[in-house]
Amino acid sequence: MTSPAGETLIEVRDLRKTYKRGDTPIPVLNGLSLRVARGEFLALMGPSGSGKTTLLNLMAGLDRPTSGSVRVGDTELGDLSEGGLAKWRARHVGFIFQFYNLIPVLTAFENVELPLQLTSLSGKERHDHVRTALDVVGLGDRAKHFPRQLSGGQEQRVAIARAIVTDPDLIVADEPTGDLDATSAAEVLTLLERLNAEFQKTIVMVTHDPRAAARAHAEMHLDKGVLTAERS
Amino acid sequence: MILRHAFRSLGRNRVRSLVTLLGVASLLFLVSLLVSILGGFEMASHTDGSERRLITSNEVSLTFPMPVSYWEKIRAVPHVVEVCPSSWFGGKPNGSDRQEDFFAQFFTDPDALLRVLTEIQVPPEQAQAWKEDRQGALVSDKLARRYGWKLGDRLPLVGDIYPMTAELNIRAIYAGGEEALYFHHAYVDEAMGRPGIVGTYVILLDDPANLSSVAESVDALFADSDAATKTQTEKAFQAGFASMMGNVVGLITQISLVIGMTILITAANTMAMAVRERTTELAVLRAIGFPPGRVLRLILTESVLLTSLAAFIGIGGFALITWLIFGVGEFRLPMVWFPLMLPPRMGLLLSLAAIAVGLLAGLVPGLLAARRPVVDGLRRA
Repeated sequence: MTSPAGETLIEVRDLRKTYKRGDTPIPVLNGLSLRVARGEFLALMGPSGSGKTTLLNLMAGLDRPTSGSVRVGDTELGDLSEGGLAKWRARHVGFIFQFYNLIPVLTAFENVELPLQLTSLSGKERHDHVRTALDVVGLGDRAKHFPRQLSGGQEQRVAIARAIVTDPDLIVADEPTGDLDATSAAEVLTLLERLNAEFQKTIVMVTHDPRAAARAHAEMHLDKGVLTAERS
Repeated sequence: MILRHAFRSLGRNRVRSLVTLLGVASLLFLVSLLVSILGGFEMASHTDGSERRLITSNEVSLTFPMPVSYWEKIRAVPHVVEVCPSSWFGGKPNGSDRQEDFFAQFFTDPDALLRVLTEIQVPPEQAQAWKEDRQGALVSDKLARRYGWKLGDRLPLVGDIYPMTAELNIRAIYAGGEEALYFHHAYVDEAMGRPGIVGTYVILLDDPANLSSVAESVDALFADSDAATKTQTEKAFQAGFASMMGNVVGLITQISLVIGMTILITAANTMAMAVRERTTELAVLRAIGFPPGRVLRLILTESVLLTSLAAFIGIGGFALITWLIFGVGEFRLPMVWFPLMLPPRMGLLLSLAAIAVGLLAGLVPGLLAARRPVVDGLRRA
């Protein structure tokens, strides 16, 4: 299955992933193929255990497939070493998690600055980038706040700022609204739409929520490790 | 940034960090104490001039005497410059029962003593006054300061080993050398009915190169007598004195090693708990591109920070307290004849050891965290 026409950013071919529980193999993805165009906002849906998060992890270079390949831009992820994958993720991928996963002992500013520590930017350049990212998510005035001093919605917006601060090609979001109330969830989705529309970020979002999926340009449904339907 | 992150991470579970910090600091305080005692033994055997001196004692034990006739025989051995009989008196000043009033006291031959103790300085007129007064005493300036003794003061020393009270007059005060009190051998000899016995002979040689050959020659002289001798360097003698006190040095070393292991286990346990609680957080760092080495560095920094802070409190605290008590106050502990101070070099070595223990303590949890697959860590969320 493929995404709508346009320059392809992600190309997944015959992807299989099998976990082992003891000696028992548990197949999660069964020969899945898809393409995601650059600038796409794609929602991955499906029941629990359908393989959504596994697919997301493989596309983001967090895990390695049992067989098949994932190409993102010009990079064949299977060709990269662990260190190479880490560098590639730092440069090309922004992550948004369901539970925000901010570092509780760092301020909002310092959390957003974390990915920039892996770059060669100067202190002032890092400061400017962080300020810009926090302004984009509307939290410029919360830079010195610690995560415990923020609401869930604000924490997720800080996480989004952390995801975009390196200006990555791809943003992957795993249930980004799963832990938020309706109002905060709507704000986060609006922000993702804006990142996609204004900053041309390619977004792949895993969600159970049809309302969240409806905000994406395209939907793909997984069940038992294969794509079963798509909306574009 | 890593340092700030590590430092703040120590504050996540303040009670645990504080308990670990104080626990490790207390243990390091204890190690500092033990090391300073060891250093004291070492220092006590390193007086200036000791490199040319031998000590002869009875082969059986220090508590067994030798005949005074050995004096002249030893003096006749080639390369021997001077021989001084020196016997431990073990008295209590003014009959005091306070353990703090323990200090070294020897009855000896004044002329010979002033020649063999090359490191001490005595004003000539005081030396002469001491020699001329059979009940005269020569004391170190440190002892005189501690007790407020002045020249001409009367000092009764109630004997513990010898059933007599030495009624002494302070006639001379020396600078340099070890803290001790010396008085006339002849005075004790007379008071005790001329028993003609000596505890040890201090032998001054012409050259340190002859230490070994002279020691052998001296022991050979008396090998077949009723009181065979054991001649050793002053340093070896001091070590032997320490071992007579129940192998204190060995015991201290072993205790220090056990404490070192305890510190390692305590710090490692704290770090293991801290890392386990942050599995997801560390996985997130890996996800956003932190290489394994950087995650390991973060944990090692945190661990080293913990033991370094503990070292600052424990070792620094010990150094400060001992400096205030023994340096400024010149206080002495019971049965310890040397000032209890942590030499700066030992303080530095202990601090480096604490840092090394911090590295070791963080290594295993750090490696496990750094090597854990990212998705496994994220799944814990």
